[in-house]
Amino acid sequence: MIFSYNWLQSFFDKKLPSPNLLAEKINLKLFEVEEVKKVNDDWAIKIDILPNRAGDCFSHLGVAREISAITGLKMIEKKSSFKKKSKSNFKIEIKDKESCPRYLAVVLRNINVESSPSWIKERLKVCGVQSINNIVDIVNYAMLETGQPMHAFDLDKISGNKIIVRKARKNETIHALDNKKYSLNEKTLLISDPEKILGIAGIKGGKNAEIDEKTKNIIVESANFDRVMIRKASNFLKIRTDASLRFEHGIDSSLSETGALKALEMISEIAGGEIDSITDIYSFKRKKEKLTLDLNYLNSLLGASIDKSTAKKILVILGFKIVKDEKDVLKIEAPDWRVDISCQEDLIEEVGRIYGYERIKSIMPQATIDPPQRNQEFYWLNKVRNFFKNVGFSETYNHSFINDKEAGNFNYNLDNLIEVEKPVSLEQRYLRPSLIPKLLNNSKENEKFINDFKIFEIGNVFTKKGSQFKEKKEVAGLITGNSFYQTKGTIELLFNELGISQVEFKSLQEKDCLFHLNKRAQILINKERVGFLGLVSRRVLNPLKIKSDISLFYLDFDLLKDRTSKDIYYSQIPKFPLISRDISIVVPEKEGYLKIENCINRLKLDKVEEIIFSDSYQGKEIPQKKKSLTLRIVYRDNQRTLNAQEVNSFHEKIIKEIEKNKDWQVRK
Amino acid sequence: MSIKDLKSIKKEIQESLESAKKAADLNNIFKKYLGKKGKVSLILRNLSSLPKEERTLVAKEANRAKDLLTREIDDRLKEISDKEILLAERGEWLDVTLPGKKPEIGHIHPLTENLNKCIDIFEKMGFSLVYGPELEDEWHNFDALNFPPDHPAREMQDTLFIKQEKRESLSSKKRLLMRTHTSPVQVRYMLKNKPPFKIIVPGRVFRNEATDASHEVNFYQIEGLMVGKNISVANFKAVVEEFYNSFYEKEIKVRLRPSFFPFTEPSFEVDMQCTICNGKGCSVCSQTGWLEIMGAGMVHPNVLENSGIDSSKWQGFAFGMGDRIAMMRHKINDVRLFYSGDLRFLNQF
Repeated sequence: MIFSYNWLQSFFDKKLPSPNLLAEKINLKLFEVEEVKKVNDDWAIKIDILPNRAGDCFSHLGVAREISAITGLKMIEKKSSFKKKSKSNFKIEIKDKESCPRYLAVVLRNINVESSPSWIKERLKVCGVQSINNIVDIVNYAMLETGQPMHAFDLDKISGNKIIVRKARKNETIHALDNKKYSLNEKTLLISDPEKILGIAGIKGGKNAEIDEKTKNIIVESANFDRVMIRKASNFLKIRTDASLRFEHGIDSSLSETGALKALEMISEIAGGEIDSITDIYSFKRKKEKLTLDLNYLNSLLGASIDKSTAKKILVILGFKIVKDEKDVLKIEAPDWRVDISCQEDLIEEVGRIYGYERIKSIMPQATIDPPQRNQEFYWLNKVRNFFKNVGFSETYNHSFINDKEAGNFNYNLDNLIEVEKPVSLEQRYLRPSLIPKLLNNSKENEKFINDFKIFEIGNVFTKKGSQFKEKKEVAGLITGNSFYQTKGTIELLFNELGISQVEFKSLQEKDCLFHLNKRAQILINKERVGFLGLVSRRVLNPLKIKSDISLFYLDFDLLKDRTSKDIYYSQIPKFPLISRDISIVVPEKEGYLKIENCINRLKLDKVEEIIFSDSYQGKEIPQKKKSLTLRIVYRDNQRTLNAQEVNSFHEKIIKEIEKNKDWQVRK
Repeated sequence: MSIKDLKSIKKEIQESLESAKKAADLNNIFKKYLGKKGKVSLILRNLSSLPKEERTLVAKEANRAKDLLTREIDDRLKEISDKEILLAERGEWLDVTLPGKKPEIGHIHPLTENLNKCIDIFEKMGFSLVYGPELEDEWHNFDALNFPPDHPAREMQDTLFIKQEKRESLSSKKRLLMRTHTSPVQVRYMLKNKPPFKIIVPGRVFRNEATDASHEVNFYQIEGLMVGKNISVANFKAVVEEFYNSFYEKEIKVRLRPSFFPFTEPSFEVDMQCTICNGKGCSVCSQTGWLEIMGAGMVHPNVLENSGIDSSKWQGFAFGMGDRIAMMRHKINDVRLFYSGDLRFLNQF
């Protein structure tokens, strides 16, 4: 809200600190000041009122009270009260008292509607409010001063000498002062007469009883409406006004009187006329509890040593009443306007901020020898991240959402996607069920500038089954180019690094919409599937307009994490030399390499230390639809040096075993 | 063989060494004197034929001659070989100004790096690291944190609610949303652990708002919570000061301003002195010299009670900060860069 410096000054006899200095003090002890701007002879101070203080500080009076507490300057005391004139032939009927705890209405006769005096116009202008005529301006002015929203109706436009406060009926509409028509719902509270609607309670007036230059007699409404009702109505109608803003945060019902007094005082001064009647229907008062303030707790919570008299002084200047004062314990009653005060800690905040947080000295908490618990997830997350960094991957962070197009492109089953209710942008329609869509998008954007790259991401992904919602952590990465084996090698190395064994890569038979039909694999640890890798199908890449080929993988991090092992056990460095023999086998072109390794392993030759794949070849000398696989077999005995004859005999055994398969021929 | 003979042999050796030019000459000299039938070798081998009194003297001299010769030849050989190598090197050249061949290395995201730095500092102060879910329920995200059911405070953070069947009829523990802050993890932790404790919670949080240079639909927060017998605002000040000093690796001034959060009372906005201008005022801090960097406060007794902790016995502080500390540290002016996946940005870190 924008405050006028001159207006704030009007509450004090003594000079306030300069606008900038004042702003600085407000900033440190009350609210954030966003801007101080000179407007003619005045300054507009833009203050960000905290939502819990909307009840009293959406007004110059409220902020002036705070300034008094902050600066120690005394406010000018003003006391006035109603001379109650309640005999009236004007009737007010409240049909819904829950929504309208108080309705104060003043009938005034013989006023003159004209343009406002310039000082009112100027102040309204500083605060960003447009001037209309003296009556409307005064009502607005009184609101900006006191925080009480009010409304003035043209009495002669009201039928039946009666105002009815009631809920709207279905399909009722109103022609509001902003010249727009609104259809209302049954939760909206209305101000009406027996025939027509006069305004939307607490939100906006209607055209039907608008004040114009011919208006002579008026009724000024200074009411209190339920904040939840106002908020719901204002959300439904999508109207936010200075009035609705104040009501929906909640203001105390005592403010009705304060506001009306200010307005009446100004009307009689500026627009003339006389009060005909005052009606005050006060159905509910807010219950106020007395609060206990324990000074020992205050100092323990603040970590300060503020004495009782200082604390009391601060509370009193803010309008609090000390009801009882016993040793270290005070009984305190908050002023009517402080709707935000409900517990002891609220009082401690009041004392703390005015006393000044800068005066509280920093004290390190007393040390206990209490080491932090180790977080295993964090440990493995960093291990995985560092691994990928070390092998040349760059880490990306993407949004946790996918849009409709992505859901379609990747053929996700909408029943398994978690949908967001009313996202600001449709980019956030669904929670991501995988990191892949956005990683591919990264690839698309980056291939415009960079030829080859590797990227990875670790993040949470979301799916649902019926009403079961699931969140898990995924690790995914991609390498540009036709790089299946590079991707596989990266995963193998990662598992090594994490101490994961019992790893298998198996071809995939089931349907999937991401990978090349025959260049994809599932990744298993101990027979349990933990992820996938493969070459991304052009069926996916072409619609995304990705030019480069891409290999990618994705893994369930939670499953990986549970299968890691940290300790590495040393195995003795071999003392005796190895002897190796190469073997080339011609096999059908779709034969899996692992079958051959398994065939050799079945012999359980304890001198075979390792089998190393060295080459796969097709072409000259190899028959059509066949390939030649070359393996290096490493022999070693840990007790002695093997001789060539021994090794040859092992090798012969292997060749024999291999040739038992009639589709396999060992090349000689 | 006498001492005299030996002396003349030594002289002979000296002379031939002086005239030797090539490695081959030196090898010949070695052969001539120290080879199997070398002059000095023979003397040493035939020592026993000498009279006793002469024997020791001759042996000493002969060994000395042997040592001298060996050393001299080694030195000279090295000298000659060095000369040859240098000669060869003189003919070779490379351009030291050509770029080096870099081994391939990847890049860790700046936010990972910054979170890790934060975690490291807090762990050294004894804070334990705790994680929680991003897909949260309304009870943990709002109710338990003292947000009244219909209070505008819930609008301070526009929430991404999850579409659920008959959502209205579900209890708030079943109504799902994307967490708007990491604070629900406080509640989850307190429900399972007994005070005293100090924890930090890093994680991704969500807002339903349009993105711009300073707003993102998701961003990272790091949350801290310390609960104990007499934990105070003064303790909080000391901990944040220590944190910022360590994080920026220089003395950083910190100040508290009043603020409002439903889950803390009193609540603060924490400002730190602008690291760009050191508090003098610049465009980054809008000439104020200060930067708003953290929300904090003393844990509201209702939150403690909702989390099963006796608020008459325990008290503490909580704080939370966002991506801004990383933006400050690396002078990044647009938060969206973090989530762009643009390698031209990411590979700078």
